[in-house]
Amino acid sequence: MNATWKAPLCAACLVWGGLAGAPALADERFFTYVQDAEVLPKGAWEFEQWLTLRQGYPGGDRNFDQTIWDFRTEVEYGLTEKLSGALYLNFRQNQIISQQPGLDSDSEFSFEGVSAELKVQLLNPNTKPVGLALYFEPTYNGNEVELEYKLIFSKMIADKWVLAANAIFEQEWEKEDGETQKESALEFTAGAAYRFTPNWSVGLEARYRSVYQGAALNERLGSAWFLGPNIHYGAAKWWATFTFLPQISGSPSDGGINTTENAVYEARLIVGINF
Amino acid sequence: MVDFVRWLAPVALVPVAVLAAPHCYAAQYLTLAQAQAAMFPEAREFAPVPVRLSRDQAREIEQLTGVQVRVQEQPVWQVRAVDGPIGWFIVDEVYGKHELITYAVGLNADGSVRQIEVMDYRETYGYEIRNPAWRRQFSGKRQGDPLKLEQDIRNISGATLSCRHITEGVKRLLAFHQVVLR
Repeated sequence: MNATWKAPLCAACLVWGGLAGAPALADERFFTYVQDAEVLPKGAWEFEQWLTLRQGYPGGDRNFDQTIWDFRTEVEYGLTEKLSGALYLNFRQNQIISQQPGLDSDSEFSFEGVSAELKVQLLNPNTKPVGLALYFEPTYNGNEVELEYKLIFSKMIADKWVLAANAIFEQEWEKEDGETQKESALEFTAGAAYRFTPNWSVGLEARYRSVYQGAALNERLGSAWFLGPNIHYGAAKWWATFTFLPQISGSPSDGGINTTENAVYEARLIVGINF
Repeated sequence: MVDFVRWLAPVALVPVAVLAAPHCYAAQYLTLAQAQAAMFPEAREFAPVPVRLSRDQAREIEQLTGVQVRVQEQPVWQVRAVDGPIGWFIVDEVYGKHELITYAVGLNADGSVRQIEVMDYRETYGYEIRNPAWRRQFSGKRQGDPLKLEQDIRNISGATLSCRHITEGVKRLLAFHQVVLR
């Protein structure tokens, strides 16, 4: 076997190994940028594939167009009735296209590390006035460590409306040229979806993201508001959700939006398979 | 592009393997005859008396229960033993999360619940509602009882929507008996 295929095959085997012999399962997401407070039933498994597109300008430089595709493969398991855990493999295709003669374009595909996830449900959104969950996700990429913390609220009303809101804090440490760069981010997301049939829903997702230098929100680098529609299909065997999320305003402003720290628009597709 | 294919191809095979694997869902647990026999072993006859609800009847059931009447046709059988009518056998459907659950409710002659049975379950999970201990919670329930999850009906974690919709369905059928059959 070609040595360059060994690493990705090993990564896939980890996923296959986790799935082998797994019993019945399942859950679904009505939003792609907002989490709800549901957790997998104890002993249940779920496989998800994420595909995220971010379109913008690298560092805000309009001499280039930047297209980033993020691929995330997730396997999640219900550890207890209130706690689920997951592992992710992260990949990225980063394409920078020159818009000026004499400037070089660039394209790179990279493995962006492994993430883990723990989600604990404190209040069940189906039986309490509001659902509440805590979420923690570490990511390790050799040179980079990220920690993400979420406070999750959600509620389903009359089996028709799904509402959710998250408060998110992120910290990032990246080793570069012998120095450790630190960044942090504060994010607030919210979503509302309407189930117009038992299988289909449409909705809106909103997101505020603010990026800071330092691991403790030390100096704000840029912030942005995003707002866009989503559509969701769910069946007994699988589900899929797609969100289109354009930036509607940001600062420091570059034509009304922030392009130094944020994309001009994002789109995300998540497909979940039940087994 | 080669790197892209090299990394994603093995992972992309995972959903193929998952979809190809045998799945345990969409099961018929009881036929109509089996459900009838399970609930009323002493019965001599199940006489079909299907009902089509009028708008006024549907509205009255909704007002009594707070539960929407989704369809107006209700398959009903009067259960008769040697000495005469002993109750009612009703087949109903409610949504689990995406798919319909077909279940049956047996009512005693006084309108109280004798038993419930799950006939067809089409969701991937939540089938724990077939658990006899969970279904026994409904025996003896009458019109006017709360029939509410985490009040007089215990929930099954991981099957909350199925539990809630079956509970609401039984509540609706108790009101149906009061409005139509009594």
